[in-house]
Amino acid sequence: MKGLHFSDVCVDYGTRSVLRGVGAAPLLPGTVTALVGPNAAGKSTLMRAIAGIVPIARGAIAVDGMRIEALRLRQRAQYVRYVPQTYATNARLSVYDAVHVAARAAAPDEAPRKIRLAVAETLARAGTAELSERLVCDLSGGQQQLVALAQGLVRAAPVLLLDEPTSALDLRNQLEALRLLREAATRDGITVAVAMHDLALAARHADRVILLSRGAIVADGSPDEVFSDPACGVAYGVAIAATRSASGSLHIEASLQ
Amino acid sequence: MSLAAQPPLAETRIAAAERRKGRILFGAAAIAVLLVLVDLGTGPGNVALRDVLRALANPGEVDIRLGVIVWDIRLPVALQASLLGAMLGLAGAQMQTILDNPLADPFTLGVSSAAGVGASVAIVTGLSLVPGTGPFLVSANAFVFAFGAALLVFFFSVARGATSETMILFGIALMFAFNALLAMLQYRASETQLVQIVFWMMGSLQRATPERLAAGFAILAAVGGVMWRRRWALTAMRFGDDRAASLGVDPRRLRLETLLLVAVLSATSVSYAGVIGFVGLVGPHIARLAVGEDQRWFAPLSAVCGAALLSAASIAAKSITPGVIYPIGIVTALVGVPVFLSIIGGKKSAAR
Repeated sequence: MKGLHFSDVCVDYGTRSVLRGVGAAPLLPGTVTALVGPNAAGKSTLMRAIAGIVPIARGAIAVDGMRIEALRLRQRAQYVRYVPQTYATNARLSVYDAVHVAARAAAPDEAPRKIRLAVAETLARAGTAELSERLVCDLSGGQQQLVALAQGLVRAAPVLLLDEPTSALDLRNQLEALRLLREAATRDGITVAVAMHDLALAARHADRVILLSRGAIVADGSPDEVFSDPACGVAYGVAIAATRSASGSLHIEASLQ
Repeated sequence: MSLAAQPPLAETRIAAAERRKGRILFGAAAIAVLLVLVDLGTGPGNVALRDVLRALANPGEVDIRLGVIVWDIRLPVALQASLLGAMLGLAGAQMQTILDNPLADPFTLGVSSAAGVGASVAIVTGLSLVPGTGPFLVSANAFVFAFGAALLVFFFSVARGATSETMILFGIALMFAFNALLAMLQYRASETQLVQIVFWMMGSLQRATPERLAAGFAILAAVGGVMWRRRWALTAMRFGDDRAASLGVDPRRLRLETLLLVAVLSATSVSYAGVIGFVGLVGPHIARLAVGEDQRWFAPLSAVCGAALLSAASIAAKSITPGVIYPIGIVTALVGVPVFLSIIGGKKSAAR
């Protein structure tokens, strides 16, 4: 079975259960899935559980048919790459070195020359080539987020999970970042999942939307299906109206009830 | 800045940046060696540097007095300064890396004081914490205490809400606690024991032997080797636990392993020459400014800077008052405190 498959994933923080048996149809290679839901719905926890950063109490996680939930971080990194929401860093490393170390840490046995080529290519694709000699700690928040994105893309794993990857980006870079993710999916056949707050962005850029609320999946399908599902408004506690405009783009309007 | 496609980065510029870092490392190593030579040429006994070099080059052809001064007295001390400086520099660098705190070093976090107390317990009571250590009793106790303190620091650092500043406050609290324990031991110590304890707490390079030096260099090489194998993982830690974990690094395990290695380095250093503060703070600080935090350059340069600093301190200890060799720990504290304060000040102004 290709892609990312997870079923019955449970995560507890102490006695509080954060994910309660989360499972979905496989996320397919070459597609971009948006994970949406209100704050504390469990989006980040689900990604961190898949990446192996938080332990799961129960459940199965597989990438391309290979069960990974029991793998240690070292092996798991060969299947999943996770870009957390926190992009700010005081690391005194050049942008090039930052992306380089990501590639080296993820693939310590790869030939150095191949790594360097991959780094240069990623930097160019992510539009950070001109920053490559600047120190990461001197960059703006948005630029640091681009570096985090480049760290996720360099020598990418088959599954790429990103938590709010555009939160600090300006309008243009938001669109460019989403284009990059789309390109990673279509060109490299990567399974991409992105946690998002901006439903309009999700509607426009995702093939599939998974809506989480209170640690469970409450809607799953195409953007049209999920955003016109009443469960969506219920989850957020707002009224949501999804309409297709004449040009065919999905328009989302949210208002307080 | 835009995300539009750009031509691939010229590899030559990256190669040039790496060559520059290599040159800095090489230059610093040359300075460190030079300082060892100057250190050899400094001290009581009125021996000029030229005679020292002559005695080093042709041990058989110089008179016995010169030979003894150079080979038996000055060389072990000078090499020990270099060795312990490198150990402390490396220990500080890795502590700062895994705790994400530029103010961390074995001294500021109380690990060195703990090792000093461990040594004093052995000196005063003869009580061993590790059975069967025999002649290594003092060193073994120092290590157990150092590692215990390192673990305390570790658990405090993983506790929620521990910022760089609170970590240092925790280290100061540890230092107070260990100083109180030390005072207790001093109170019931005999006069000879007291002299030994003072030696420990002020730091002195004067008790170097070839065997201990050889063992010390072996320890440094072994620990440095393990750290070198972890260089990518350690560099990745600079981006926080989640990002490191996503790249296949187990942050908790790496942190514990590294802390163990740091404890080995600082306990060895303390068991050789007592508490020498701030070298582990200043060495990495210079290295970070010069080459950044890529472990390929940062770790070795921190060690080299530490070695150079302690050699310089050793020279100063012998030169401030002619005929008097001050305990080395006093000198490093005098140099280290202003740097420590400047890092605190720098952090404040850089805070966003």
